[in-house]
Amino acid sequence: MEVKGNGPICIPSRDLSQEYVESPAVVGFAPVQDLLDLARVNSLWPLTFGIACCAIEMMAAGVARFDWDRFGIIPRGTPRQSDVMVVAGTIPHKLVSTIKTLYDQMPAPRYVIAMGNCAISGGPFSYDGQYAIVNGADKIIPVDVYIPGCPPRPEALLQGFIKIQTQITKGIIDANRRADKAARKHKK
Amino acid sequence: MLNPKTIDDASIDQRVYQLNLGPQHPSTHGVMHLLVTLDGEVVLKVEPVIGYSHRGHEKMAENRTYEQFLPNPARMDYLSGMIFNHGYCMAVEKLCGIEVPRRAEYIRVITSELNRIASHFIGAMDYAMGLGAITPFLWGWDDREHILDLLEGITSYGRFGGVRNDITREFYDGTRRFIDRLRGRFWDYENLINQNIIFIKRSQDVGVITKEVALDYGVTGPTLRGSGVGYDVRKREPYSAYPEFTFEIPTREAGDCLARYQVRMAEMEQSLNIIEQALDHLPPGPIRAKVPRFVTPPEGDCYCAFESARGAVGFYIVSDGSRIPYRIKVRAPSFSNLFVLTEICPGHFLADVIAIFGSIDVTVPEIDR
Amino acid sequence: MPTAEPTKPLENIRNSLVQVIPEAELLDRDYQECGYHLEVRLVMRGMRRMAREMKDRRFFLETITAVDFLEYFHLIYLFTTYNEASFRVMARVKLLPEVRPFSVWTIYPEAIWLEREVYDFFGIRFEGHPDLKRIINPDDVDYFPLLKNFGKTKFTTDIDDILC
Repeated sequence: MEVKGNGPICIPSRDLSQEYVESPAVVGFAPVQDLLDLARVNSLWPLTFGIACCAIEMMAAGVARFDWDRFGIIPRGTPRQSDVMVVAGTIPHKLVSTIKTLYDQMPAPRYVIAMGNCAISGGPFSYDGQYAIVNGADKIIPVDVYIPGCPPRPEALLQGFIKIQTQITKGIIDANRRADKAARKHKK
Repeated sequence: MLNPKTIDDASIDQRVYQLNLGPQHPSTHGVMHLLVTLDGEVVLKVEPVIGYSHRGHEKMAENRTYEQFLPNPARMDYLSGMIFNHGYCMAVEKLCGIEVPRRAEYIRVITSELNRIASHFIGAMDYAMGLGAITPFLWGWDDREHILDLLEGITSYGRFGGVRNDITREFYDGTRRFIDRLRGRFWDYENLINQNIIFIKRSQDVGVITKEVALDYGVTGPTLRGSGVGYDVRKREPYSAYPEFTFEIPTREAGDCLARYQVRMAEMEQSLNIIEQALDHLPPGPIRAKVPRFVTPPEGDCYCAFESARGAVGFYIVSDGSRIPYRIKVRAPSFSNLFVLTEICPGHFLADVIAIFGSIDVTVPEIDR
Repeated sequence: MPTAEPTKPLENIRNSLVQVIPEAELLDRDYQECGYHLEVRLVMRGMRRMAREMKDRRFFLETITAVDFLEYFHLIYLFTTYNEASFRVMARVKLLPEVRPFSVWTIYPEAIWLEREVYDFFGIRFEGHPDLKRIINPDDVDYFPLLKNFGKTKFTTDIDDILC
């Protein structure tokens, strides 16, 4: 990958769906697949890949006050045992091959959460003349959920996980519906 | 040969191999890559590879006005962000000759010390987690959340000439309650960790940094104070409102991981003393001096040193008389502290390398800037 | 803000530096204004003697950095002491393009990494360095980021064009 002088430096985004093929359903029957999806969302195991400041908020989402363990989320140290990769932090050029390798090592079905402004689009470090970073994780790997913030609150990360749950179960678990239900109960 | 200390000592038919510790690893605090050359389980050579967090802060400084660069220091060492912010404001004020009101200095000191306690919670408890103790990690982060609640209430980041927000009644009462609560909690931590035989066996005499090695490598901060040298910028080159407070600089003589951990815990108590004195004697007055919209320092250079949770930081600012700095160089303590690893790790086991790395308490984006 | 007064024993630093590097220019600076007590302007040839003298006096090397002034560089060394009274000495070396600085790593091992960083960002090669390669930027890039004619700085673009 060539990096030269002036101008914004970013890998041109390409149609990544061509490279990463959607994994086929495990079993042919729809109800069984729905059941498997429901089981899968309640034990999403992320890969601990905190790069910079957002990593602290990710760790804060894991410890006593916010506690992602009640959603079934257990962080794994190796990509071969994880479902979702949380890219938390700015991505410099030296890290690009690492991220690609880690993503390739994750077994399908796998998901990616881009946490923080830096992983979405370069964040506060993206300016005309920046030589050191890649403007966003989706220039390297396909991203499913974007969580804005610099850094986002731990509750925002938890909502991001629920959004992935919505995507996986195709709407059966729905963050918006949960919030509406809680609001209605509160009003009573 | 048993316990070879160098690569040359290892016998020829011994397979000496290199292990990549990182850049993705559960216990490298950030993206840290250690190339470890091993003979069985004994480490022969450690070479840290850095640059995985490089965001180009110093180049960005040449493209931003002094005010626009304000968010950057806090993201260099994100665990002591308010201390870096304090230091950067101090550096620019020194260059311009701006006088900061006393109340603003007190508020800056209070927020900096709260930040120091929060950072030491992470430093000391992440070290314990590196040894396998999960409970102190959870306790420490929960106590840290109380500090973050307090700081969130006022969000009093420094601006040139003072601070942004004043202290509210809630913050004042909350901090008083927090100080009393934390003083009681220290006994809990001591009971849980300090007498634990596994913790002591894995920390004592591991990773000893002698005074000579510290001088060679420019080590500062709790890493240095664990080796018996009482160098703290708050006492040696007093700045801001620190001369008006009485506090001690804790040191230990041993120089091993246990000493560094004990220094961090003792420093938290000293920070509580400082905060209490500051709240007792908080002077009335304005919280911000009159400063032009775009700060334009005169030509010249200035080096401003201050103490973050990791060691002595320095901002070297070169100005050419315009609104945009000519050069800003940040002296990061973790840069020098990390290099000591190459000197003290050989001869230990691989598990000890994790312990030593945790006890030095490094923040990787500060190294790479 | 109270100043950190250098005590009598450290006043001898000035005298001993005059003896060790007679060709250097020593300037007393106001600590309140600029953060260091003594500025030493010298050529690269005297640097090794100065570093040896500072090490004998138990100063540690705080940092090495460079400033790019287009036709020449300023190479800056900062020495500080762990002792009771603080005293900071700055050594400033004016590097013309044809001058090759040499490494002080035999005296201060920390300089191995500090000089690698200066090489990585400015392209200044240090003679006698055991392992001069890139440290922070990726290994295969061909630019030196902090040079003034790389990327966007005030010298390459109009000042109002920069602020984004």
